[in-house]
Amino acid sequence: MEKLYTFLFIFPFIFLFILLIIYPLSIEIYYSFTEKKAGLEPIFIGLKNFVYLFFNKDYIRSFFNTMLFVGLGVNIKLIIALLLANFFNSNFKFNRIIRGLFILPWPLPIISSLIIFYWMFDYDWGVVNYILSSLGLPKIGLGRYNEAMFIIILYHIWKNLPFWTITLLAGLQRIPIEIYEAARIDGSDSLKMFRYITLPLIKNLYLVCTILSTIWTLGDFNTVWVLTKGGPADSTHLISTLAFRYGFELGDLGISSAMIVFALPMIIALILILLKFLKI
Amino acid sequence: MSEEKKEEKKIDRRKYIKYVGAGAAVVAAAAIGYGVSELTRPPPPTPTTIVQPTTIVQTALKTETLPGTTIVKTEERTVVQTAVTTVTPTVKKLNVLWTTEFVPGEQFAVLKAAEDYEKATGVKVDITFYGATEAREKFTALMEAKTPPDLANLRGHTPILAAYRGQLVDVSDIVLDPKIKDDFFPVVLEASYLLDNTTKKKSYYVVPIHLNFNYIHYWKDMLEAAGYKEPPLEWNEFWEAFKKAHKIWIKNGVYGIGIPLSSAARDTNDTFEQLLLSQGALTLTPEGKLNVDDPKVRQTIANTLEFLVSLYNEGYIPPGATTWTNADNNKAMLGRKIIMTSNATLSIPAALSVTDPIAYYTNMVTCHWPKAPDGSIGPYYAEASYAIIPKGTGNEELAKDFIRYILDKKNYVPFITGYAGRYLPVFKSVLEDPFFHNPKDLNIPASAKYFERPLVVASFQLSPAYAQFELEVGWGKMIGRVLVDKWSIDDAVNEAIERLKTLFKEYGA
Repeated sequence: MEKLYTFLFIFPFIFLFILLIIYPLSIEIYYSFTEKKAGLEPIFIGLKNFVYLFFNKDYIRSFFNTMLFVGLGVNIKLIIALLLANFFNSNFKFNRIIRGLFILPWPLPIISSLIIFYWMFDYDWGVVNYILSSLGLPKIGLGRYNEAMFIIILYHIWKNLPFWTITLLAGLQRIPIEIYEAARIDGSDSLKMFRYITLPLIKNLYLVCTILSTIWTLGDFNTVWVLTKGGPADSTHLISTLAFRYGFELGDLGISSAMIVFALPMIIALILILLKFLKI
Repeated sequence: MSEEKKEEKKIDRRKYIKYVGAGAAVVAAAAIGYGVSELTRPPPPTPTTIVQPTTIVQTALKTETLPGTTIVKTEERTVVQTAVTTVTPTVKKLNVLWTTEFVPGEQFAVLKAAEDYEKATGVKVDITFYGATEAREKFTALMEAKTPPDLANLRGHTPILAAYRGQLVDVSDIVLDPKIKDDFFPVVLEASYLLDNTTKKKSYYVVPIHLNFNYIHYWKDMLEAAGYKEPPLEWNEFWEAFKKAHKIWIKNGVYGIGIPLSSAARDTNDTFEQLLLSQGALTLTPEGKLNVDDPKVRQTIANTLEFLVSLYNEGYIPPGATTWTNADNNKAMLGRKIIMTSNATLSIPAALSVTDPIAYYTNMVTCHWPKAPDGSIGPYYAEASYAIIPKGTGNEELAKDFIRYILDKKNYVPFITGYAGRYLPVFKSVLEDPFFHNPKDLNIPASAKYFERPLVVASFQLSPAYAQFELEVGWGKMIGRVLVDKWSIDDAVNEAIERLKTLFKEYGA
């Protein structure tokens, strides 16, 4: 009876897990070895899709962009988040009000905020460029690769910074205040306390945040799709947006699946590291 | 109630959780089962064809009586019953995916047709509207999920590729209906005669519904400030007029030439195609063969690319044009941030006619493309927008019936004019309607005048390989190679031409 109950309890989850995770993933892996056009039956072609990707300039660039987006976006965001968390952890007037205002970008709807960014950075008529040109500074826009990537990363940091700041702040607040008081009595200044108390005690949480944020950022689709649609000249595509373009715009699900499957080992490795850290 | 009885009624907590858990699992399993059965339910039955049995009637026609014998002459009369196609009574709903953008009237026109059809037949028409890009993506997803709509209206290349892949129902019976066949513009029929590669058969797998060219629009007051009542038709003078206007208006943040240059916008490809045609360069032969090895065509591609690059680098085109989506030149033009633009369909004036009718009637003008640099007049490409019926929905006959209803002249005129002039009709007789010839209108009659020049079918509707190139925004990518990646003109042209050749090889064209 005990076994039956156990099975009944976990059955819905196992069923949904197979239906929503295992089945689509298996199909995706299978499609990556086939020539699969939308609505047609797949034809097995072995590794041809992967060979094609290996020489595809757009895919190589999207791979590089993904590394750049994740590498810079996650690390800059978390370094700033840690510094801000430290700032919010101290006692000063209006702390709670500023903290409340600081969180605002996080609950904003993603698409609306992206469209606002799109218009703010419009090269010809955006408010940012109006201010820059009024100050005699060069304009910045989504029409050039470097600037477009900068704006994409900037949005990512702006949007997600509050969440990670609050997470790290929660971690900082768990550090006993007595340790800081003892250090202060021993003559430590703020920098030393941050270096020798805060950092070692927050290290594990920081690493978990980094890995988690990396996994989430790897799957980010909206930022690039709404801001640039992969342009100019397909130069700012991430793997996720390029795979969507091939799958649903060009109707080539074989190549699209191969793009994702090619990047899968990297994501699985990150998840394994995360699980090891969390000792799950 | 005594304490003892209460104790008896108490259930052990572990048991309670088990019962609740088991109950929840059963409910969840039932819900999942229901969901799966809904997902895997076979499509509704196909319409049944009822054919009455052939009857043989023996009739005594004449009886002649001779001495000793009676001869009875008989006649076999075969009662031929016409095959009657009836729609299965259970099917009473059509799921329709329709493309609409920019003008609210577009939706009203389709909804009105659907409402009238519902009243006439009792069949519910359930329409979902999407913008052109989203409609294409949704259609692809529905085809892949094997839950296609009963009927779809799509622009451009997607129907060509769906027909090539054998995914569409043959609709020759509608297109070749003697009542309407001869009334179609020939270029429309040509654009609808497509190849199904699975059967290697060419036929009508799409029904043309709308027609459009690639137009030029400009703001009259801004051009007049540069001393022009209208843009000259000579190539150099035409562009010079907008450059002059640019120099006057740029201090107000208004650019002279608003041509899309992005790989994210179909408009970029369409404009490049029309620029090539205006200079007499046909990238495809009338038979649909690739013609880019013709030195004249190749040179025109390179010259056109160089021309656009120099317009951009000299600052006549907004710097942001390299990231424009299909809607962005519309927005820039309607916001009076550019003096002229090119656009497939009359969507910009149509939107203006709703938001600012005075400006529509007095200030925005649609005009011809300039002549080629050598003074010759190049052709316009004509693009049809189609109604298509995916295979395997079980509702094919009903979908055909709804298309026939829309194409019926008395329904088609309010339908096409409901688009506020965004599209031209596919029928010659309907173009004669006064709606398309209002002398006070500076846009719709001008768009009808595009028929005065030679016409060719849009390359992406003539060939599936070219449709794929259009889908990839190949010319837009070529422009981006020079403007964004800083490639040379030659390298960018070579890459685009190589891509075209590869696609033609893949599609066996």
